[in-house]
Amino acid sequence: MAYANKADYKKWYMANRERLIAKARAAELANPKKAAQKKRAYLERHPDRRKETNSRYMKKPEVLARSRELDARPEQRAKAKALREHYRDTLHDCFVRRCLAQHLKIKGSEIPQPLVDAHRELMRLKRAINEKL
Amino acid sequence: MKNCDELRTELALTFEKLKAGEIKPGEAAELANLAGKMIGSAKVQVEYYALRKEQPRIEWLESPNAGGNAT
Repeated sequence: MAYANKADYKKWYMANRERLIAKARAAELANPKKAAQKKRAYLERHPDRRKETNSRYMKKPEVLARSRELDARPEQRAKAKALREHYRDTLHDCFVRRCLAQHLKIKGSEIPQPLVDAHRELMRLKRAINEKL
Repeated sequence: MKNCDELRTELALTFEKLKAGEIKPGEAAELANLAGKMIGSAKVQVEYYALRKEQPRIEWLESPNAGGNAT
C-alpha cells in the first residue's frame, strides 16, 4: 500500500482497521507457532513494554472493578485456590507444563505432550520417594 | 530407553515397584535422578529449537507408533 503521505495512509488505515485486525488475528490463529515466535521476538526487542502493558491493563476500570469484586467475595478466591491445589495434587497438564517451563524462555504450551507425560510420571515417582523416605 | 514413551513406562514401573516395596527408595531415587537429567536435556533441546525458530522432529520425543519422515 504505497501512499505519498502519512495522512493518506492513516485515512486508509482507519477505514480498513477492523478488517486488518481480523486478518492479523486469523493469521495468528492459523499459525500459532509462528505467532508465538513473533511475540517472543517482540518482547526480546522491547523488554520494558511487557511491564508497561501489564500496568496499563491493571489500571483499566473493568479490571479494577473485577479485582475489587474478587476482594469482596473471598469464597471466589478460595474456589480459585482450591482449583489450583486440585491441579497440583492431580498433576494436571497445566501444572506440569508450568513447572517444566519455569526456567525456560518458552511457554508451557509450546512443550511437546510426550515430554509433559514423562515429567508427570517423574513427579509422581519423586512424590512417592519423598513419602517413603 | 530409546524414547520418551519408554522412559515414561520405566518410570511408571518403578513407581509400582516402589509402592509394592520391591525396590528401595534409594534405588528409585537413582532412576528418578537419571530420568530428570534426560527430561532436562530434552527440554533444553526443545527450547533451543524454539528460540532458533526451527521446528525439526526430535526423534527422542517421537512415539514409535507415529509415522512420518524424521529430519
